[in-house]
Amino acid sequence: MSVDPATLAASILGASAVRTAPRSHPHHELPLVAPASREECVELVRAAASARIGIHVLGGGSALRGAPTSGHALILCTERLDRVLAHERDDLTFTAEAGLRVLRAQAGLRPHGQRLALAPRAEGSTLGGTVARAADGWTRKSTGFVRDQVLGIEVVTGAGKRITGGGRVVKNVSGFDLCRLFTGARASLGILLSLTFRLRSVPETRRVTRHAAADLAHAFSAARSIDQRIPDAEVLRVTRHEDGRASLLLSLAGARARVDAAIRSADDALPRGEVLAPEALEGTHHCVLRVDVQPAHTERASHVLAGLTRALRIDADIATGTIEAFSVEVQPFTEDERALLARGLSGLEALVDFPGDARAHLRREAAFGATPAEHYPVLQRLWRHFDPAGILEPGVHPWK
Amino acid sequence: MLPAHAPEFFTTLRTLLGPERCITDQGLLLPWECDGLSHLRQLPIAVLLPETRAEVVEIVRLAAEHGIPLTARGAGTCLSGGATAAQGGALIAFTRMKRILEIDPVNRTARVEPGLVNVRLSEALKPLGLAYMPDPSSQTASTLGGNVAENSGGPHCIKHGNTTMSVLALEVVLADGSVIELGHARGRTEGPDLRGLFVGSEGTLGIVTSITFRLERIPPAELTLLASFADMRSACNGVSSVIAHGILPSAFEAIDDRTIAALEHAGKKSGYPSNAAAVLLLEFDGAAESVRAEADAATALLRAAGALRIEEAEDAAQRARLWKGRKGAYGAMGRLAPDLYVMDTVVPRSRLPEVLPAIGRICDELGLPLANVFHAGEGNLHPNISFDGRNPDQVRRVLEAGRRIVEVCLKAGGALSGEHGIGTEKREFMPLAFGPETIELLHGLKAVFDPGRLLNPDKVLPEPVTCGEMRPAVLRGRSA
Amino acid sequence: MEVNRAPCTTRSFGHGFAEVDACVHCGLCTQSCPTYLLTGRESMSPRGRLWTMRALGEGRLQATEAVLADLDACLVCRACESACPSSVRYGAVIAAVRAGTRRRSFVRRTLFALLPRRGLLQTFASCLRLWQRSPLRPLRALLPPGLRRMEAALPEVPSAAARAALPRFTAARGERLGATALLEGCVMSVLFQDVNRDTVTLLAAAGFDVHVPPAQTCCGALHEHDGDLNGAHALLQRNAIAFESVPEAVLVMNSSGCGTAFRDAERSIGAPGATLTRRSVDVTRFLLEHGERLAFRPHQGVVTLDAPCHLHHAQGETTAPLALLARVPGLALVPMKDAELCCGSAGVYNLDHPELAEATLAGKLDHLAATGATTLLTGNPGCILQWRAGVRARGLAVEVLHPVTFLARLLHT
Repeated sequence: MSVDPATLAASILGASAVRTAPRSHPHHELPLVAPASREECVELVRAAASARIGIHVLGGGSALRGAPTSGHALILCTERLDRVLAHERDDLTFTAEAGLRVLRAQAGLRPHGQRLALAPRAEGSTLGGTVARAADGWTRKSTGFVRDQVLGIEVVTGAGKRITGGGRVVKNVSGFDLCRLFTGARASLGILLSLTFRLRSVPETRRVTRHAAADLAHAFSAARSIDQRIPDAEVLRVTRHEDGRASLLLSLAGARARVDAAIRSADDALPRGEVLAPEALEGTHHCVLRVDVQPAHTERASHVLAGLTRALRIDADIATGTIEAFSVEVQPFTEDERALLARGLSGLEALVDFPGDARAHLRREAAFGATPAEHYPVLQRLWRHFDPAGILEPGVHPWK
Repeated sequence: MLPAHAPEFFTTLRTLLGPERCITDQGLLLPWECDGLSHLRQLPIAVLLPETRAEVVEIVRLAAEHGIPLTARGAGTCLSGGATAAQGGALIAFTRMKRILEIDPVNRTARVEPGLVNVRLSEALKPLGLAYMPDPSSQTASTLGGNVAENSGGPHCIKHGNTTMSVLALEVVLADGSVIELGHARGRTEGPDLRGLFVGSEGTLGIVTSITFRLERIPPAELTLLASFADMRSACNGVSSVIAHGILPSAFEAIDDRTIAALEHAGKKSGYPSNAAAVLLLEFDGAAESVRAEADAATALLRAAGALRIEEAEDAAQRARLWKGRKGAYGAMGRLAPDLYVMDTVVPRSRLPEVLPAIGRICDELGLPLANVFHAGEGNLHPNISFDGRNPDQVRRVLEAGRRIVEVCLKAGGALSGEHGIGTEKREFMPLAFGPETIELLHGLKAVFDPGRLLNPDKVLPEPVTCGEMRPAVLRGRSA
Repeated sequence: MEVNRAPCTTRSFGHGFAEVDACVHCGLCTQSCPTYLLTGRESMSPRGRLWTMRALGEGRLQATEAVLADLDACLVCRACESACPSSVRYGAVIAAVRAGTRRRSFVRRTLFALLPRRGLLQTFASCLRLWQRSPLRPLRALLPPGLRRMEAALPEVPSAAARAALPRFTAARGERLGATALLEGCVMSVLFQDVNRDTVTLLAAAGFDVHVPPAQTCCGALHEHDGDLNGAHALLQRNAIAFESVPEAVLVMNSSGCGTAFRDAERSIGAPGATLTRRSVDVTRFLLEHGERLAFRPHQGVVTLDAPCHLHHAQGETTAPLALLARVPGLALVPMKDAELCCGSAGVYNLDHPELAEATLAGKLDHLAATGATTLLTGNPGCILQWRAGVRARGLAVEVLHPVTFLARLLHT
């Protein structure tokens, strides 16, 4: 006798916690449930596990994925799990619930001269969502991967077990590294309840400039020259605009003396640039395509993306090899476009993601760097261990 | 003579590796009975020294077939017992598998075999203007495979991170002998970060046969400061103050008067003032202007915290000497007593001024000499307790001190280990740091990868039967 | 897990063995050990050997053939002492253990008995020279393998004239600055008397009288190396008395093996050795500090320097050879990688462990070739022989010289 997901959720959280999902959600036909506390969340997962009700997790909604479900599922929204649990100012650590929005957390930290080394992709990006999909952004060059920012996690597994990994200190090698295991796991093994991050201080000064370039090739050559001159530039980003123009975005941050010296060095090598507000770094456009390659392949891969006929803005980071394409239209990429990408990127060992297409990841092209098939047995055993009933994020990964 | 059980295992391996690389002689096995944690010992039934991945695969396959536990070992400098054999188990030592497979200066990556010694990679990179940043104090001897297994730290990890932050990809032999590649040289992969799970798993989930590291450019400027204090509390306040102001040195070390005395006693000229009760060693790296600005700001804060004297290393030679004292501090304590217990715990940095005296009181109460030399900037403590393992009462007191120090640190919001790992040393303390559901899950996680419990069993996790309840640690003394 | 060793009876290894307790088993020494680098085996590393020796001392390990073989494979280069943060005097421990365990062959005992007997040694050298030049030499193929190796490893013995004893006294040239005394040595006096003569030339030119006291004898280093502590100590005693005849002279050592024996004399034989310990100094250090008067001509060609282990590690003399050579105007001195690692000579090690010695040397020869040097300088007779054999076998166009010879050739007279 199967239990109706909405009824089950209402019986645990009360009817007011259950509503309908937004139209944009790939499973908008499912009930959306927003637990008010981590305890409620754990209780809900336990009940869902025993009733074998599937769970899709919704954070800020900026990177939705999922396969068609049987309909015997619900959407668990973390929006009410948004408490700050601890801000140890003198230790530069920060603990908060997973549903807290990154921009809100940053706003709370700014008066203390501190920040999270995270780069949210959208206004609504949450801490949990950013970690669950390992959403490395413009901060990667200067402060590293998302996985290197997480010091501790609290998780409810698919089996309804409430577990912890790491701790609240900046250095910790006690037992298996669950923090990293859950980074990028997209709630396939467990749902992040709260997280502890290391903090950075806000730089004394920052200057962001954009420098026009004749074309993409010239922008790349300018970027390489700046990378040699100013290895500690915070961001060094080549952009191909929708209209075909190219430019170089340079952010210099740190001690005033250093930034001044770096500006002088950049002025010797670049045409004078337009000074932008620091917020220019926080892109909030809709990313429709993300390609990661080794740094040496950045330029080649960028040309492949530039060869697509639709109007895209392409941002490429030559230090990390990350290339992102932004578009106003959210149409899924066509077969032809995917074939063009696959051909162009072959041999570059690229990892390709289509954040605007909820189901694109289920079609595996060899050229797109998805999890190799020989990992499936290990990942499936891992998944069964954390989520024996198989309720979490069905279809979020090709191996699930 | 071959061990009595599983004779086929040994005859096959002896044919595969030759007698030089398949050690079974009892007398020759003896020096392999422990790693850097020399009071916990287990004689391996054999030591196998592969030179290729194919040989590793063959060894793992045979071990699985015959049910022989295997412990991977690099240079055996581990301080938590991670590289000591399991009962009835063999060691697979990577000391002959030490090639640099590839250095890619454009993408700044290097692929190496696990037996390569940490400092050898740095030496090879230097002419290219590149650097591998993690620098455990054992770096002149410890292997990169061992560093990966323990997720080793080191003085420069405050800025550049423990080993895991430099690992891009691992080639791993799983318990059934299959080989998979985790992570990728480009950095990002899809799905759960299995690479991250394996780094620091102490060889309990699989055996690494090659590693791809992320490299850095050698920083254009470096600057080293030495600040001396009249007491450790002021020094700790100085640490907290610098960190709280958001200054990020590339290294931030504290050394107490007992350690300075030990260095002098061992005849090492450290250049540390012998009248100070504590010294802080700070380093900054990066662009010249950044380094200068950070050092100036730190200097002002340390003065405000009561530094007696702050000096700046004038040249590379002086800097090297200041570091030599720090890196040799642990060994120099060998002159104080026949045995030494190097602990490794972490506390929030702001709690240092209260935790250090508490540790001092524990050792005073138990009548044990304590010296502190530690990664202050990360709150990563290394209480060094000198003792004589031939004296059972001293050993009992050392154990007692170890347990109480762990409790104090955890109570202050700290962690069991910052860089040495859990090994056999702290496995019984795991339930103090993690709840029973977490411990149970970790046991299951181990079984996902190693259902037969053949890969470095009895490490990291407490014995399942006593899960959730504390047992006295198995630490006992070494006689000398 | 097996733990705990109950206090047990310690086998009485002699003097120096207690030093084993200072090792904390950190392993920082391992990468300095040539035999560990080659084999990767713990029992072939300094830490492993200390552990083995400690266990032998505790009586919990039997001194089996296999155990002793790995202890015997130690070069006693003492590079581990430089690496050790606890400053464990490894050399003292292994000498004590070898004294208690080493089995020494008849050939070996005979050979070592010959070393301190100058007359017999010179006669033996003459016989050797005859043999080396005789048409019967191809018969060496009939020798047993041990002897055959030894025979093959020997360089050509110089003529009796070249081996002639040094004058007992050579006066300083020009204004006299002080007195020095020279140890002619055993191997040195037979195979490298030219180095001894060049040493006298340099010292005299620098303004020092040079005494060669007749009662002196072999320093005993090889005996100690081989575990014959009593024999070694007796020789030190004799030398201490011999050099009392020139109480004001500085003992200038041109063989780093002998130099180390003298430097350690006080530790080895107590108070009577103090005079040797205090008064001896390596020739490079002495000339660096007191050789202002020496002027050298420029040298064409690239030179590199290999550090004899006994100078670099045992005596800790890491700077004087380089600093002294810097006095040669515009000298092209190229550093060699791993110059502080043993060349594999290690006394008579190359005779006992030809394969390990050869493998050790092979790595060193690669580094030598990489320098592009045409002259290699090293200040120990065993090292010179080992290098010369290696350079010849590899076909490198490199002249291997003692630094003293090199400098004497360039001396402005």
